[in-house]
Amino acid sequence: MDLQQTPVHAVRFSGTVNAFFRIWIVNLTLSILTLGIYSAWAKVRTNRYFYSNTDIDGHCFRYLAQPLQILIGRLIAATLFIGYVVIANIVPAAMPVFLLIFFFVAPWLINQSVRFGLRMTSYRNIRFNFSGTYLPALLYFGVLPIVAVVTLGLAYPWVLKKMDEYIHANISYASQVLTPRLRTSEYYWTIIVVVAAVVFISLIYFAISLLVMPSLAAHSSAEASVNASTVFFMLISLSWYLILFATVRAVYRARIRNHLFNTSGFSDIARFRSSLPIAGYAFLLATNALAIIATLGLAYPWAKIRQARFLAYFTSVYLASHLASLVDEYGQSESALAEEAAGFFDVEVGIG
Amino acid sequence: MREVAGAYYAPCAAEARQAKLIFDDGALRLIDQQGQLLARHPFSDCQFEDSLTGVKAEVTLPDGSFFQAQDTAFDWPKGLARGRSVTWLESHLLTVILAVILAPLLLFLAYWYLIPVTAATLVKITPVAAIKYLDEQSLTLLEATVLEPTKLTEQQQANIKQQFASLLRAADIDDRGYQLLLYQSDYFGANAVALAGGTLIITDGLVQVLEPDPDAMSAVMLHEVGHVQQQHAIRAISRSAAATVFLTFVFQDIEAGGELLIGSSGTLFDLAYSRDMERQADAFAVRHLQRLGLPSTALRQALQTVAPSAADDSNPWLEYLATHPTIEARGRAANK
Repeated sequence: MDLQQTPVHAVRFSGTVNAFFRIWIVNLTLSILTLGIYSAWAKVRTNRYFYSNTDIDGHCFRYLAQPLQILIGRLIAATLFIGYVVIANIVPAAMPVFLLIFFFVAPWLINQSVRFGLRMTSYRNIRFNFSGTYLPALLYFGVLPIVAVVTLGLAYPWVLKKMDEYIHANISYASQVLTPRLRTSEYYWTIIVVVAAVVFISLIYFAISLLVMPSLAAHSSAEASVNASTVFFMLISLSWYLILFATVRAVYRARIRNHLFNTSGFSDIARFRSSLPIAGYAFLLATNALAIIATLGLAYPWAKIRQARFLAYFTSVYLASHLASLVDEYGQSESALAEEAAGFFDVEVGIG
Repeated sequence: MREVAGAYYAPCAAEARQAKLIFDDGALRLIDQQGQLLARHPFSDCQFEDSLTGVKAEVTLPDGSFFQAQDTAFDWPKGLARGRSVTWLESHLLTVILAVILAPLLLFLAYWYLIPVTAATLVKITPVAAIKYLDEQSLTLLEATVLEPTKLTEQQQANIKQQFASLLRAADIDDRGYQLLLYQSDYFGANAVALAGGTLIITDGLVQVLEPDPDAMSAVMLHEVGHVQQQHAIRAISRSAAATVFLTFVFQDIEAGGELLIGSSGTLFDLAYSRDMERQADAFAVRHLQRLGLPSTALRQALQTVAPSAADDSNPWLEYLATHPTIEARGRAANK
């Protein structure tokens, strides 16, 4: 697809803090009142709000999941979790068996939830699809992490790349497969930058602590100084944790997301562009986290809307001009009808 | 006859067509800009999407096409779509403010009342054998890590065990559920620990420190027995599991800061429970000390002997991070 000739469409997000805050707080209260049962409906409403307010070329996304599907999945997951807790606390000897079973069940669960999320997403009345199967998932999510551990983490970036590649290479839309062309070097560089950032920030904090603490102790009486340094130390640790967390996440997600988007496309239909600035994203994540903590959680809707706007702003799509005919062609095929029909296995097993 | 303007998407449509949806009697009719009929279906065949504030109303037709209203303020007439009551709650400022007040209140209530009650009920249906097994596991772990064989003499060990046995008998407590074990431990120092199923561990250090005051040792033993009688350990585990499941259900995906908040507030509650359990064990000990005619100051004596250097004017805020109430607070309570 010749990108020069195709129109560029920015991703637009039109959600507002006012509207979403209302949705969020009311749904949260209802979820607590119903001891979590309503949370399935809350999730559908939240996703519908975000999907419907995201549009490309004047068409918005749709979230098609039904609350009951999500509720069933959550109940199954909750049962599994309770089983895990019981075994962990009462019969620890059975834990290795449980973990082994989980090792073989996890790839199926991962495939299921990715497939569910994609099939419940539709654009221009065509659902996305996922064609990942069990054995590759077992390899990439089960075996490769072991390889990473065995190589003392050296293979870790490569494992991450293989995981992303597996997921994205199996995503399809209108019978077009997403073809990601990921480079392992990108992952290695990203991890190196992350480690460097962690070391750098930690050194700064260490230096601050060393400089400030003794002077705190010198300037006040014995008792007060113990309290002052304890409080100071707690604040320092908390902010260190927050800033570190935000930076690591920002560096990794920005670099990898940019890389993923920029090298992926549905061959004849679309190409993607992502230009997330790392510093800007780190600032966003850190301030979001601080705001949520400072407001005891009330700033969560603001943080989420803010992040959605930020991500949309730096994302754009090149759509083929002959999209209409391609997509219409697809719509007539039999496979399309089969895919559009939601199946029994459209279940998402998970609590989150 | 009502009508609403919007867009019509055929199945797998690349473009949306401007259309008008007209409400006939019990059915809907879709016409395009030229007035041509696009579709006509009875209401019962169509799926009207739940109403949602700020999102355009949608209806999905049996053939997989759908219509999306243009005006976000438009909502399907009563009876066609669900979710109207939630939308009503979301769009009125009063109910939103009510929700802001209720949410933390309900969470607090859930944490303070619902979850402990659930945990206590779960504990009642836990088989005793399971709790004993838990003890065995914990003991094995402790023996492998921080407990060493006791260095007390045979006579000392016998005395302590005798004291414990007669204490239980005098307090009318079934001694079959208990076993007293003595160990040397650098990690624990002078301390006593009660495991969930009735295994009491007393360190050499504690025996030696409390040698001049056998009543103080009785007080400590009673305190630990209190923990077991009231099933504190197993209730704590149960509570923590119930809380996690509840929280994960209610809060779906929380941003980083939120996880920290949930985690730390959970910890603050756990510590509050911990202090509460210590107070309950203290109260148990004092009650039985009085019943047995032993001085109720024995508990305070024990606490002070074990931690003579504890600062009395520690930061009140730090108390929220403590697993036990302050020594002075416990002493005051014990003297009542």
